[in-house]
Amino acid sequence: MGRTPRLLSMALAGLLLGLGSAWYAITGGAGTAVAYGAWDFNPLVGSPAAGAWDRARVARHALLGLTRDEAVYFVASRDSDGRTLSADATYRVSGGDLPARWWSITAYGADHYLIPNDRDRYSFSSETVTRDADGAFAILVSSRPRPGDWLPLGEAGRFDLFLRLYNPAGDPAADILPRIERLDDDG
Amino acid sequence: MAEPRRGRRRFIGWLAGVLAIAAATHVAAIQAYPRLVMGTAWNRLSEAAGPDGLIHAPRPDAASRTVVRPSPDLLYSVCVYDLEAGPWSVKTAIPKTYMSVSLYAMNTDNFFTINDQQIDSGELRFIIVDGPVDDVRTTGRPLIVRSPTTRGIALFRYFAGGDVSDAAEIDSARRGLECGRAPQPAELGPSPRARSVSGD
Repeated sequence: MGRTPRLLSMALAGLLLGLGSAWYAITGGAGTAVAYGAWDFNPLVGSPAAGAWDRARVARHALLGLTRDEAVYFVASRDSDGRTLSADATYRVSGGDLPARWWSITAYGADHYLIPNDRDRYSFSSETVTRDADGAFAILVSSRPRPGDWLPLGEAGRFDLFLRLYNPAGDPAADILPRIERLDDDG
Repeated sequence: MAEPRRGRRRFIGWLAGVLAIAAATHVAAIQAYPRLVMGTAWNRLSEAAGPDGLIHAPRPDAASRTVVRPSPDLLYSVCVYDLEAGPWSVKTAIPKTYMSVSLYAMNTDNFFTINDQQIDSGELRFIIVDGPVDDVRTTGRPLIVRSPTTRGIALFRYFAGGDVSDAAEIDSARRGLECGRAPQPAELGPSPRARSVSGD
């Protein structure tokens, strides 16, 4: 191979490898996310202390997010037993009140946007969820209508749950975050 | 014997060159990506803003596609700022429910946030600058925030996931929002000082 073709192939291979590995670093992997049971928490969302790789991941997955002083975000793509969340099943998301001024649990489709459904119901917040006498709540997440606090999944396929705590009282411990239990297979 | 050895040396040199170019490309792409994403968002929002420079987005639903993972419990208003020609002024009423103003630099950093509980009165006013604070002459004592980049995004969040009777007050606060080029120093009046702020 001549000198020019060799240099051209070297440049092309280097560019492709560099861009491909950068895209993988941005779109794949958890970065510095910390697992809290079923929930993942990235403490560097929006933070000026984030490194270049974390900042790039945040630009992709959590653009215009708030720093942990104002809000903390947890994302769950698996249930509490580690199985991938799927709209083919029904899930019970349960727990008690969380240490924050207000909180909410929202379902997003695989495209990271809200899931279309007939009820236009996308979330439950600390202001809208139903509590029992002990202050505990249970949200049923399913494609099929469910009694009580039902969070519809429409035709989502794979989905994830997003837990937001605004004006949190410190970093919450894993054992107080809601449990995500798979109840049955609807498919 | 000499020919295979020369071929192997050439291949090792080629591979080293590929890896060096890949490493440089990888780092450059990682560093450029946040600014690329923010630049695209800034341009889109700038085009979508009304004559007052603001966007009052409707409550997010399944059709909302501007920002990933929008919260359906919040009403968002957005202002894109450009300090090229001078400081920027922000003014908003404080509703009874949660509200916050967050500023984002063009590298995506959330360098400043203030919420309703950090304001002493029913109104928040502050000025965004990108130069030394001493260069901003004001007649009062407004809160001054230094932006690390000349351009940026101010995002206003209003909690709307609770009592529907709060909707009118929230809407009124949003409609009264001001975000634009700061008036001349003589026109700047006193402003309530925030008890504490995050960021610079």
